[in-house]
Parts: sequence; structure tokens; C-alpha cells
Amino acid sequence: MDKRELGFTLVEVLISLMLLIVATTSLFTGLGHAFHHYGLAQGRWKATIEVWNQIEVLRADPPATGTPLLILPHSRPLYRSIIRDSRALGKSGWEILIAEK
Amino acid sequence: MMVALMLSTLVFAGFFLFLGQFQKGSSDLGLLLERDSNLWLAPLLLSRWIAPTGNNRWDQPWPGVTVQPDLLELNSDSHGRDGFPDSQLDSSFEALQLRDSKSNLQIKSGHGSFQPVIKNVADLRFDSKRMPVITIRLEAATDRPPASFEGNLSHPVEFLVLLRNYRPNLFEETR
Repeated sequence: MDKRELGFTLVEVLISLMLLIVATTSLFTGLGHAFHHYGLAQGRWKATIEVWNQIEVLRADPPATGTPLLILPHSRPLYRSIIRDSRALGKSGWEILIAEK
Repeated sequence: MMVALMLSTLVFAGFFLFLGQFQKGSSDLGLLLERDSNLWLAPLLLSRWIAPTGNNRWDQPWPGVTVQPDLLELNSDSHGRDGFPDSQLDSSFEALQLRDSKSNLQIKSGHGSFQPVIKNVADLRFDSKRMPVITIRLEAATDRPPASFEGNLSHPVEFLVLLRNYRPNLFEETR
């Protein structure tokens, strides 16, 4: 029996080891990206629900308080209210103008 | 020769080890996505059913909104011939009941029976403390425990649905 047919050579094994490392790294990097984007999507969804709930509370009981804004002379005064959006990262969020009932 | 044999054993062992870990990780990600698809769907779906049926019913002379911790019942005679109330709750969107049963969020509409709408529901609570806003707390679970770690993957969401009295009926209803 030829000596080369007894098994893998060291070079062949090293090449397969290198391929295994590359493939494994790629697979786990891809899985890491998938989890990362899943986390981003979940964070955005939580922020959406927070905004959703703020809007429902605001619609149920609009707080017509604070300094009134008069868009036109003798018009109904409007009051500012802010919907806090955690996705805005410290920015003010959405400004809502509310008229008196 | 011995070095090649040891390394090839290492390569095979590493291949199956990493493949198993990758399979567990991707399986757990699939579980999370399936669970969250239920959670993400719930506010949109339920608000489109609850609000039109419960509008013009809260704090009105005629009844229609019953909120219990584990059951939400809404009745609204909002539809009839020529667009006016007809004292008949025949349409599917005029009578609505929601409950949690057998790990499913079930909805009964009209004269039908309870049907599962969202599966893998671990808990469902309705609260009327902030009326006219109904607070709905829904906790969704996964089909099976996670493969790569010990723990529970159930996750809650709490969202509000406003019932508005925006269009009082022209005529007083009889039921």
C-alpha cells in the first residue's frame, strides 16, 4: 500500500483546519449580526409601544395647560404637549398642539 | 503522521461542536422571532377590533363595555339598515369577547364561538382603572425552552386602547 493512502497529510489537515476556522467565524459573525439586528428591532418596537401608550393617554385627556399659542388673532388658543420618543435619544420628541375643549 | 491524526481529530470535533452551537443559537433566535411576531401583532390587531366596537359606549346611558381581569366584552349596536342602529348585534364587529384559554388569546365575535387568534399566550389581563383607556397586558411565551441557556423566554407587553365617545347616536338604543 502506498504511504500516501494511509491518511491525511499534515498539509491537508492544516488546510481543513483553516477552512473550519474561517467557516466557523463567518457563521458566528452572521449569527451575531442577526441577534444584533433582532435587539435593535425589539428596542424600536418597545419605543413604538411607549409612544403608542402616550398618544392614547393624550387623546383620552388632552392637557390644555401652559402658555397658549395664538396662531391667528382671536383664534382658539393652542397648547403644546410633547410625546417622548426614546428612539430620539434625548431629543425633544414629537410636539403636539392641543386646542381647548 | 501522529500530528496529522491529532489535528484531523481536532478538526472533526471542532466542526461538530461549532455546528451544534450554531444550530442552538439559530434555533433560539427563531424562537424569539416567533414569540415576538405574536407580541408585535397584538396591539395592531386588537386595537382594530376593540376600538371600533367599544367607541361611544363608555360612560354612556346604554351599556356595552364590560372589563374583567380575564375577560373583555364589548357590545355596540353600531350597524344596521341604512346605517342606523337596529337593536340587533348581528355584525361580527358589533359583539366581541376576548379571553385567554388554553394558552391562546381567543376572540368571539357576533354569534360565533371562541376562536384562537394569538397562540402561546402565557398571561392576558384587562384593566379599566384608566377608563376610557383600557389597559391590556399580554405575555407571550415560546413554543419550547431555549436550547442554549436555562431560563424562561416569556415576555410581556402592556398597551392602551382608547374608547372614544366621538359620535353619539341620533336615537337612543334599546339594548
